[in-house]
Amino acid sequence: MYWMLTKSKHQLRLQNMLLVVASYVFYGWWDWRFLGLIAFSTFVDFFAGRAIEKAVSKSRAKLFLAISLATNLGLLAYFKYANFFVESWIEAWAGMGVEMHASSLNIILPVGISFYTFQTLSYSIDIYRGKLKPTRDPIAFAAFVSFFPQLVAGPIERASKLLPQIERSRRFDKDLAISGLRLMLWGMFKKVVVADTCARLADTIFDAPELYSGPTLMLGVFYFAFQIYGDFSGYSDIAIGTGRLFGIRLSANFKFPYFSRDIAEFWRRWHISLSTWFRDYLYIPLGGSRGSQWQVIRNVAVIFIVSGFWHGANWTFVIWGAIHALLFVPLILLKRNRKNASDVVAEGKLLPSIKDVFAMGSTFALVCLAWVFFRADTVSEAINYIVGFSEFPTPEKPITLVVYTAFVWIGVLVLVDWIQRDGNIPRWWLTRKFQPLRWFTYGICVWLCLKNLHSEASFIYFQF
Amino acid sequence: MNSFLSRVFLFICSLIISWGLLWTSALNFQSIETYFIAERSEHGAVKMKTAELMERSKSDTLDFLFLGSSTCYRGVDPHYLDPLKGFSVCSSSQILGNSAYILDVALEYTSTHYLVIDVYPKLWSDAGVVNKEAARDWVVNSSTPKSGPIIDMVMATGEPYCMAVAGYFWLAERLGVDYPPYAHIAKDHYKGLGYLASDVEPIESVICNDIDVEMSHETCEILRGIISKSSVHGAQTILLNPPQLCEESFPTPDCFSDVLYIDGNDWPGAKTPSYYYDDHHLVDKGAASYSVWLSKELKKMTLVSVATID
Repeated sequence: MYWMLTKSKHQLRLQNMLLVVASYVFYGWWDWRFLGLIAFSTFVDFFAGRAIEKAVSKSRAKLFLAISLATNLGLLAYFKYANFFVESWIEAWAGMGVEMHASSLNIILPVGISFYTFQTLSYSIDIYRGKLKPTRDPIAFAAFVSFFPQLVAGPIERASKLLPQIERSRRFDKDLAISGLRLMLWGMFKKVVVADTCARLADTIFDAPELYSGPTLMLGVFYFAFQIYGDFSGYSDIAIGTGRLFGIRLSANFKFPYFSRDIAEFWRRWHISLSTWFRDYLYIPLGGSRGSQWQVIRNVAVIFIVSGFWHGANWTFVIWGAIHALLFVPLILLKRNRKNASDVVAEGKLLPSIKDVFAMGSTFALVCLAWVFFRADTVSEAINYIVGFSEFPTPEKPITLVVYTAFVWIGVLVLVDWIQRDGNIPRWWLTRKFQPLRWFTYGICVWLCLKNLHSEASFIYFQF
Repeated sequence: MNSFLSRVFLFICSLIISWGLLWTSALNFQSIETYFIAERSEHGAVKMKTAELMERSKSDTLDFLFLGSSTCYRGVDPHYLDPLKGFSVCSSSQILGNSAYILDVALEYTSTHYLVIDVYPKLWSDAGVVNKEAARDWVVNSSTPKSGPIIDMVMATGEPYCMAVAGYFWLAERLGVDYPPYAHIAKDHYKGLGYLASDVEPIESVICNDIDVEMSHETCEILRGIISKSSVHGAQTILLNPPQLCEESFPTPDCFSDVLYIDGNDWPGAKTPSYYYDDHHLVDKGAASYSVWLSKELKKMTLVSVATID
């Protein structure tokens, strides 16, 4: 339907209108009441963007930027953080012996609010900074804000990248569409086969950690690490692949993060669209890596804690962010935070060196330690979980839940990622000679996805 | 665009070929079937109870045919109905939507005077009208032909994978491929007539939370359909709420009115933790005691059919 419109005289407008309608139907399917929220955010930012450009003075431009920021952050604060602040306030008073009662706000968190809010914020800020011209096409802007493949869990696109693609006439590109379908299948495999298999095991262990000894608890975090990676990067791949079917190229969100050799590299490879957002709109305005070492450390701490808080209104996320900040600080002090900035592990080689294996293993272990806080419901649960690592297995608490199927799927994921990590390796499997084998593999992947598909298994990042 | 669509068509063809190769391998190697298609299981003993059902003479009319979920096949031992005859085709997660089809399967091999439906309230809130797991259980493990009502039940789930599995097991049946159950369940013992005894250690206590459930209008309609179908086959329906340590509160559904009803929670042992291995599944000892009581209730009720829910 979308590509049939290319024959029309008003192709671009009709395609964009179709995108907006599809995106609103997609979002409304979850809860139609929150469609007004996206529409409101779109309306405010569209006019704020134009007003910033037309502003006769810097202070007036600042005023319109403030309106945009206040609207977007206000919505985010109300829907995402109001419950948290009210509860924290009551708990703080209760700690001092003062009983307070407040009827719970019970505010429903609109799916994807953190993602589309950041997307629209970047639009207003870039216009204010003079890096972007505001669009005059409200339909194109609405399509930019609500583009359904990445609406609910990213990648968080910048207006400077996505908007020009939406405003430009699009022609069907067979190779782009095929690569999109391939990416969607791989994303489905990561989500449905790897992440959901790991999720069942991780949930079993995290739901009753007192029943398990240290090795099983460590296994639980290991499963969760691959659950969240398969889940989130799988969603991103599906989103990017779907975008390609519409002739739109979305940004990469993950670049093999578990092959990182230090935390700094991990953050250049994990949730890239969010970390670069914080870099450009928070870290650099705070001073970035300029200034004294103390200021740099402060800036790093701020972005990691804010990043943790972005993930959810819970102290567990804040501590998760703080742990990453703490892991980052030694790299700054030793001036090694840019050490692995330009290359990929074992570039041009088949296998990593012992040193690389150690570096990747230790980074992965530290990331896993922080995942405990990300996964736990409360800080005390996370601490108890980590304390449980030291418990030796006993006949009452043996090492359990070593599920070989999960290891096989994790192995497939790691192997494919390892082969893909180095862009210099010839993609022999994509040649015509290997097409029958490749398609057979795709067929088995589709079967496995159908086999593991459970309608109740949602994406983790939908909650953010 | 046309070359893209022809490529998609070729891919679909290759998909069918690769699935064909997978199925062929699975038909020859049980491990491939287990890992890639479905695991044949003794859980719920569907294979054994359906094989036993098929051996029955259809003219030998049952007095009681039981339908329902695990609370039924772990709790009701039809041997205690003696001298009356009973049989249970209860299976794991069998909700009313599934029971409607499983009744059809059972009626192909037997007839009954009374149909006893285990209406475990916690399953009323189960998502979907037909439980996918229960449907898959019958497709994979039932000894009855994978056709008619079983295929209808699979189609009603609307799940593509369930349909594909049904296709595979239909083919396996036609080709005479019948592997034994892959994993033996050590603590379960099939004792015949559809009853599965559990030797799991009983619990000592349980903490109950208030649970409110409500039967949906859709499920109520399904129950009405089952009642009218059984009456067409000359059977009267009895609804049975199984005993639970933690009872659910529920408003009496409209479709319960004018139907015979037994509340298993009236059984004197209903609140004895040592009869259960969790808050609603009975161990063998508990099932024996409950079945004796239920047998008396059923005999009493069917001689003097006056007790209705209200």
